[in-house]
Amino acid sequence: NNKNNKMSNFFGSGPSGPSPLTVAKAEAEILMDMFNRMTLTCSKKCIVTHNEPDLTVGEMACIDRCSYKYLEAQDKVGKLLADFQEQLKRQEAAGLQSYGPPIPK
Amino acid sequence: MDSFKNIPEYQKAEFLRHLEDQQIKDSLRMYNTLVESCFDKCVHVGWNGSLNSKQLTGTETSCISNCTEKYMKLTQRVGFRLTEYQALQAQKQP
Repeated sequence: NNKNNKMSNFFGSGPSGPSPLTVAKAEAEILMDMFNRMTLTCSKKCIVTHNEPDLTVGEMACIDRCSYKYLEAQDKVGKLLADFQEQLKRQEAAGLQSYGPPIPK
Repeated sequence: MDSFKNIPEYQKAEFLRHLEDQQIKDSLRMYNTLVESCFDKCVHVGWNGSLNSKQLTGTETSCISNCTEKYMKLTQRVGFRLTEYQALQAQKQP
């Protein structure tokens, strides 16, 4: 079930991790923030003219494409970040020097 | 949202209150974002723009009106696609 919970990529789950309530609150906030950013980004890319109050067919198609691409890009970035953090942990465990942001323990 | 299931019963009410507060803040934030976005797109003040008066021109006003309507419709559409995408992702995971 943890595979579905993307937040578990970033926080540990279990006794050493943050409480489920904290995780749920954080996830709700992140989701909202993501939605706001996606909406603003797609509005900048897709809505260029304001001659009428309705969305044109072209704009609607653009919005659909933009939304899906944004979400796919987000998944990719999430996976890459998680992989990178794994790599850093392994290096640190092996006693190798690692450069980059500190990993929360 | 998956992580909702993991919350102990006695804390679920607190989470729902948090969601409600978040919705309120977000509505206000959305209002500010909308104003800035439509102003950016519609109102051109400056050496190349409408220096003449302190009032919005007719063009600017109708542009802002259309911009606002379009943005609201866009927000709905994006929300729909997000739900759709999440449903598709859920189907992929066994």
